[in-house]
Amino acid sequence: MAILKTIFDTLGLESDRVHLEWISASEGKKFADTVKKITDETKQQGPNPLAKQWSI
Amino acid sequence: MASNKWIKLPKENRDALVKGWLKTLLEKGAVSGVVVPSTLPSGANAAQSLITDPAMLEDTQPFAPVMAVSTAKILSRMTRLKPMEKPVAVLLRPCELRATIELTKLKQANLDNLLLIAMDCAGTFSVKTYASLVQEGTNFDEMEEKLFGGEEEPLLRPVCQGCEWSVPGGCDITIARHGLDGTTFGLIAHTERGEAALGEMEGEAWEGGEEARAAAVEKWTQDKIAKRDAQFAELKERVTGVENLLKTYAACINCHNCMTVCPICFCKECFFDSAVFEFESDRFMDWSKARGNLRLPTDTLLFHIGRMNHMSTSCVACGMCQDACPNDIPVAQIFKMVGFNTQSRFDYVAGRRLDEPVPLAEFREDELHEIGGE
Repeated sequence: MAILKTIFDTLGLESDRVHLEWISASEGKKFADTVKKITDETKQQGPNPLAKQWSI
Repeated sequence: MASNKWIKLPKENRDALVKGWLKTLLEKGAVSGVVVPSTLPSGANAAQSLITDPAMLEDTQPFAPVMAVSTAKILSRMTRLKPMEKPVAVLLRPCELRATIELTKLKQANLDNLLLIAMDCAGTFSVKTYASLVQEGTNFDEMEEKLFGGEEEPLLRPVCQGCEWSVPGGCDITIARHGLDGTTFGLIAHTERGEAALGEMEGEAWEGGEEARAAAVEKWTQDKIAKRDAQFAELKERVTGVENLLKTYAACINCHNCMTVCPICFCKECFFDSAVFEFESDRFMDWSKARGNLRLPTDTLLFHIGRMNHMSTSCVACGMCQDACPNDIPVAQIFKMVGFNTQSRFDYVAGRRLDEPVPLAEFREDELHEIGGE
């Protein structure tokens, strides 16, 4: 994960679109909160610019 | 036990002296083979070879400034299934040595019985450029002196032009140029094995070599770091960001040459050549419909980023990938920049030390909390 984010930062890609969180099966609230946080952040960021590119 | 024998000899006879020394080692049975570049039948190129007949050393070019294949890859091939039974001398450039150390840590090569002889390196030419320079009758000794004097040479491979690792580390013997005035070259034994091998070589004691060499190496390294940083800055401008990346890799034909020649990419089957990347026809149609068009073969950029993710922490910036690219994409330079950053993340330098575990093979309790949580 640290490597991937470093690669994205070096190449000028948005590393904050990649997430890693360790959540146990018993941590339901943490799971819900994390997903909500990621969803909110992604909405703020808007669509991924690479999603429109056909030539990647 | 660390050893320390320093001698110097006339530079103009370097080729003959080193060949003669290797020949003696072979004849006396101190080594049973020598891995060194031999002149190919075309006359215009040199390729790595394993010599067992002393007479064959005549037609070698230990210092030809060309690296057709990384010797690290060759040593991996030769020692992975079974280490050498008897000593074999190997001549290496610093990046080949660092890749060999990396492969040894990755359990893809075995250093047992290898007498590692590595040289100060001012850079190499691509196979194509070297061949044309030979045709033009280039005096490579003169050129090497100019390079060690600090002159720039635009025909050198781009990674070599910004390479801060011109001094080998972790070998038995160094063939030295830094710290001398160009009329002599040095031989330094770092290990007992090295010292024993060097016993076969007569030379003047190199007094004060350690200090002179340290100062020369420091200056050279600082100059090259400045050059490297300038290359990184230029690359950042030219290749980073979605648009620039797509432009840069637009010329990629997905041949995977860069992976094939990479000394560090040791997998027998690359993930990107595996069945994971075989899909049913519907998938292609779906992908195309999502954007109206689909570049084929698929996953060009993914291959490059995936390779960075898999091996940039062990990249020694040897530049073989860029030589192998049919479309001159600056893959080695991009890899070096990415590798520099991923290795820095772990305070790691690929190939620096044998006793320093590769980042992903080691767990440190106190690291990367900002990524994986507390």
